[in-house]
Amino acid sequence: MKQYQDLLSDIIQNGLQKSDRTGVGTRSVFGRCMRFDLSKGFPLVTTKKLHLKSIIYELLWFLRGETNIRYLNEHGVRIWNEWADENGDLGPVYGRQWRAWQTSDGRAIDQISNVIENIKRDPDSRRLIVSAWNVGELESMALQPCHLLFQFYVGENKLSCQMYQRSADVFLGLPFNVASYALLTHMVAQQCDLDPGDFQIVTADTHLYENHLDQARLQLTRDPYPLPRLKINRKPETISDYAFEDFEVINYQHHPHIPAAVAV
Amino acid sequence: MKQYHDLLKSILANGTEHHDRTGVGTISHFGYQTRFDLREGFPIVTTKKIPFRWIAEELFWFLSGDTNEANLRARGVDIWAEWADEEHTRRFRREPGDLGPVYGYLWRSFGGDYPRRNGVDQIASLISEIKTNPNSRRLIVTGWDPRQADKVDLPPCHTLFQFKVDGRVLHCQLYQRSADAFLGVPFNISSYALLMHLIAHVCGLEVGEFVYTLGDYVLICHIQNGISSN
Repeated sequence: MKQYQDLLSDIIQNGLQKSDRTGVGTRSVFGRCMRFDLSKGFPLVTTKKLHLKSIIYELLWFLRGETNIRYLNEHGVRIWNEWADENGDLGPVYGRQWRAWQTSDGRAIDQISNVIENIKRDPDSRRLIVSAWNVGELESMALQPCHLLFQFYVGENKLSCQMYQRSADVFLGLPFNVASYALLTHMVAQQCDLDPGDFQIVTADTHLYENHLDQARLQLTRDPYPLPRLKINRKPETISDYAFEDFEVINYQHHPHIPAAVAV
Repeated sequence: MKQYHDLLKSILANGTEHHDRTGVGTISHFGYQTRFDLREGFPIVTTKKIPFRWIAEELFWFLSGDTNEANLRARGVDIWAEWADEEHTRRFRREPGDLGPVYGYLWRSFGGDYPRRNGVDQIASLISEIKTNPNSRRLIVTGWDPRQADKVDLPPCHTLFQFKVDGRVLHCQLYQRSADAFLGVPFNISSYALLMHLIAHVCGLEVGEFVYTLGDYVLICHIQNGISSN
């Protein structure tokens, strides 16, 4: 994950100081990208310890089309709790837009099934896109999508994915975003009988919170280890049928955890 | 425009052959990012002539919310003509000239019931947000409406753009899902550079960087010879 280390130093060197919504203050750069060749390993940050559990459950929850925190809490994942209302609802966040984008004539568009169908039927298509940025529903979402659009591409029997993220908390959030979409790319590739190719993440407002700078500097003193491998233990019937136990991360060598406060 | 030449070279160096919707062979690659600092000049390709007036008229037409090709052609620009003849518009049960919910509609009435203008005016919201909440990380305009993507011949290629304000300086990033590197890209670059100037002007800001991010970017094979002389 040299790409990630490079991004940390890029922001420390070039980032402009800004105040933000949360009041903590950030150093930020605009418009960056990182590319990971998934055939060379699973892009899980090695210069600190990351727990994949919440990421796997969150992705499965997105893919179930759910927007209530119940399922996450049942599996011990609390990352969405602070945004939920008293019933655990978040409004039409990711899961809804991916699996059931509402139209004014009462239909619901399942973008995930459609994109998988299209990858199989017309792999050269340039329209293999899923968008979560549903302008008319942004106001009713507890949190507006950060990773808001992704596109697939097939070349030489490999499936690549590029994701656009409007805002990236580089120390805490971004390693999870990368792992989550790398996982999704593996799953969609498996469903389409393709090998995973590249995952590219594009970030717009790319920032480090001021209270994460020391942690980032500490992380930069550490040398990355070789990347782990992802193993998927079976091929489920559809993209909706994966379970937590299907995934195994093999040979994850990492430096110790680095604690840091979340900006809310 | 060294950036443009580097982009062309990147396709030749990394691209693979494909056969696309139009039946023509292409060389394509996936995922690219480049940037132009508008403070150093207006990005327009200089190694062949680009008709700036076409770019400007098309952009004004988008911004007006108009989706009737006849109005653009009346300004002497026929780049949308092939999508607007009866053969094309009949497929969607529309009158000749009516392109359906393309850019102008998506920008100015997203999510509406075309042709009714009852959707969200993203351009008006964008300008108002830049003025009142410049630190926002939500200064976004999208052209991707999954319910409309199958109702037009050409769903938006330049799919989504985002602005960022740093002090007095306005930056912009465009995500383009599909790019014809030889014919289209020079237009796209200059069109968004012009859009940045317009938005900066109405918001009382200065132009900064234009970050240009591509999904599937292609060279169509029969024009490959154009590159060596470009």
